[in-house]
Amino acid sequence: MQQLDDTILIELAVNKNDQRAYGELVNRHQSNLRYSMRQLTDWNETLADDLVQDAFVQAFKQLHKFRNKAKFSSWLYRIGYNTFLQHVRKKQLITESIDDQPLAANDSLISNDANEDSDARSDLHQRVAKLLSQIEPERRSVLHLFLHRQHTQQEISDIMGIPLGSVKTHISRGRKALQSNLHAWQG
Amino acid sequence: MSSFNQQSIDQVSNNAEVLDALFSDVRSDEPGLIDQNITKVVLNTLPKKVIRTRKRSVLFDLVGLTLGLIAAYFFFDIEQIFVSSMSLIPESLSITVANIAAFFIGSIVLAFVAFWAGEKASK
Repeated sequence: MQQLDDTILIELAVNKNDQRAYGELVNRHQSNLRYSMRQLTDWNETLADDLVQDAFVQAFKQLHKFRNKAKFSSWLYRIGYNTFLQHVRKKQLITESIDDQPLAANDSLISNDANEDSDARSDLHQRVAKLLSQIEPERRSVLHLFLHRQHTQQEISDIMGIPLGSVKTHISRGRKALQSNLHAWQG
Repeated sequence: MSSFNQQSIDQVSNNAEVLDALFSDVRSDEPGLIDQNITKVVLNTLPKKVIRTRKRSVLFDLVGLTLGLIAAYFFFDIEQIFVSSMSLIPESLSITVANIAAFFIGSIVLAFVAFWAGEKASK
């Protein structure tokens, strides 16, 4: 089962209702999706894992709609992102934008102090999640896909189902916001 | 160009590099998260009722259609329905603005209903 391609596993899960095949897909993609969800949820591990579980269940229900035009991981991310958005809408997660309100210098997210270098290294992922959490959810997701996952703008547009122009705007403004935050940190 | 402006540009450029370097570090340092029963929990949470697969879905539709046609043949007067239907077709049709508008509005409404029904069925 571990040797099989994603496409074959999906076919087995859809046409033969083979839950072991779907289990292998979950096992194969859980790490990336959980990491992405942690980056979107300010590194809230419990929440991220809950969202990932919901996303995998949703994906199973919609698996027969999956077309091989896209990568399974991209399709899965979209479901995960939609699950995250639904959560944000329900719980009204605090997403104060830094576009208009950069953090103060003493609210540093990334320490420049050599003494704290090892701590900063171990907390690097959480600090980046913190940095992203100051940005509104859609822009946050675009920045994660662009800066971390290194998808092209067109790919991000396809994955998130938003116009290419919106992706470009999110990247441009999001980068400025993040840079502004870094500027505040650097003093 | 004033030295202040040049300094600002340098600062922005510097921050852009810092940002790229930061994400480069995070990317290369991304941990592989161990499956802490995630797979098991997901498999236990999957709906017990098996989703209808594509082939099975088409099969159900075909069987339903066949049964419906057989029932219609025995329970309805097909010839009478045909004659009644044909009588609905007007002998002559005048094209007016009102007719065209009614046609378009009707088409749009039917399209929305079909789309809604399709979306609802796919959920």
